[in-house]
Amino acid sequence: MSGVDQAAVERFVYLEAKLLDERRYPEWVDLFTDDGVYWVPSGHDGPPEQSVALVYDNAPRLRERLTRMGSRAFWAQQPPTETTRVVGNVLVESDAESADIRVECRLILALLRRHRQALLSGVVRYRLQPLGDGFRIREKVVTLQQRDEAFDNLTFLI
Amino acid sequence: MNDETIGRWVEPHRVHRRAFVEPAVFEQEMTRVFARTWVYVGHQSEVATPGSYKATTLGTQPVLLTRDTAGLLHVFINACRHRGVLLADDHTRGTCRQLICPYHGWSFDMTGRLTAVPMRDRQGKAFDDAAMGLVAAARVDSYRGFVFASLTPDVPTLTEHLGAATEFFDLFADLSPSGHIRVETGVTRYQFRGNWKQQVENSMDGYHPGLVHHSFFEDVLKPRIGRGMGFIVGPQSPAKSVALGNGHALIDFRAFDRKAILGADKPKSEQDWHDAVRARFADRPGYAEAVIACNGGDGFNLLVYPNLVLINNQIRVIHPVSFDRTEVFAYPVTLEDVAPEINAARIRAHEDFYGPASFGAPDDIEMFQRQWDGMLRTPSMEWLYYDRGLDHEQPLGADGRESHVSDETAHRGIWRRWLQLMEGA
Repeated sequence: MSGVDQAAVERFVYLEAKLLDERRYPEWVDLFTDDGVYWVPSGHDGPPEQSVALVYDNAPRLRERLTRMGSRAFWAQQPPTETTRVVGNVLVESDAESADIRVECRLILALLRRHRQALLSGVVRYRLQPLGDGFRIREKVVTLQQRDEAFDNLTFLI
Repeated sequence: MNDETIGRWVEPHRVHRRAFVEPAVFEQEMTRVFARTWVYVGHQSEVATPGSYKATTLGTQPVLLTRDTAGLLHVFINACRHRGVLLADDHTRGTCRQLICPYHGWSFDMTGRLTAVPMRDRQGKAFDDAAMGLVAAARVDSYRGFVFASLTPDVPTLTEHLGAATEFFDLFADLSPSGHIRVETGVTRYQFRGNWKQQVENSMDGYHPGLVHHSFFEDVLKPRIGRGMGFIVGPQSPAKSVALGNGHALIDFRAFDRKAILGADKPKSEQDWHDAVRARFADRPGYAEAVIACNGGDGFNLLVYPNLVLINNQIRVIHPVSFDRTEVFAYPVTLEDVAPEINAARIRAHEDFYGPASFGAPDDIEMFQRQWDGMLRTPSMEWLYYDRGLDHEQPLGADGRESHVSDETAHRGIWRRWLQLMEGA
């Protein structure tokens, strides 16, 4: 992994976590490349073309998600889900076939909405495109430990 | 709470809140509704190969749908005859030659027959292996691949039970050029604190979308396709709220010209698919077009009483867990003999509106919670109202009634059936 700056990648994923917890969604969506994908698989393993996902957003759909976040009739986020997350165990690898960087980390995500608390956890894998001093997200895949459970509300961003 | 009391809780235009919030009512529903009629247990494609099984629930009882080595389907109570241990975890699927209880090793084949008892000679003299097979559902039958079971033998045939609903299973399955759909791309699960009948009613509710789904129809869909969908449930809508008889119900959107909504231009893979459907029904061109017109949006929402719903690409199963807890399984359905991108698009369309992170269902779930938090704690407000369209219903077929999509004609049909079953008919 020569040439990959571990500290810069860590700063990037910590900043991304901060944007999400502070619900600064427009800034978060801008982190994605135009062909970026945000994918939260369900418990059915397989390629997205053959498996239903909890979330499988390309960039246009991610912008629609953002639009809905700003809608006055988005009932499932009125009140919003408050989140506090810790990302850690950050492992960085260069991609064998491109200039991209592959990152794997662990996520602990505490939730609070209407006096009810919950905890999600899982593995987050990124494919990052180096851009200037920073990065853009080409792919973010959140594999939740709870991906086969029945949820009532996953309308916040993970 | 006796039968006479329950009989007073359902009036033509209103229902007492206790029908939702009484734990004792839920217990009676499990024996009088779910154990006394046909209930959907799975699709044949989920148990496609000999030796495969699916563990699910019928009411609150764990059951197994199996396919034996001869290819026949069976439904059993999912519990070892010895001491009641679950043979397979709830909501799992698998393939095996024998279902072996992990506690003492009693084994059953996929026809439910008891095949092995470790140290068999220690059983009492009266022990009869042939009588100790898994407890079987009294009746098992399928229609267009949808497998139903009844725990009582005293029911009409499945097709008699489905009645007018069979037409919509046909429209749903005939979208596949082979006539066979598949359930093999996973399931979206969600749950809520509340009663199962809330999700049943919501699935047939053409009154709520304009408000509850405003953020999807107006803020997301309108920029995407050039117009919102509020008009499909507005005052001028030709869509219908339908009671089909036997508690089955329908929101019928077929009167809309889908081309006008979604555009007439289709990619080649979609043209090929539609042409394959037309070729299969070359002798019934009108039917072929009716099938194709149901694709791409809301052709219809069908409720098969008590807890199966067909919507768009989706098989929805509403599992009652307790009087105040409900789990919903929403399976996207794929088609045989179409281009892979057609099925991929169907999966993405399902995610668009129906998962816990989607643009639709979470807003419904939010309403279920608010409704439950309201009606659970308000004995001072006894009645819930279902009178929309009461004076405008038109007869439809032998047992049906219909009126405007925003009416509660479907709901009144659901409650008539609930009362009939709860009173022991």
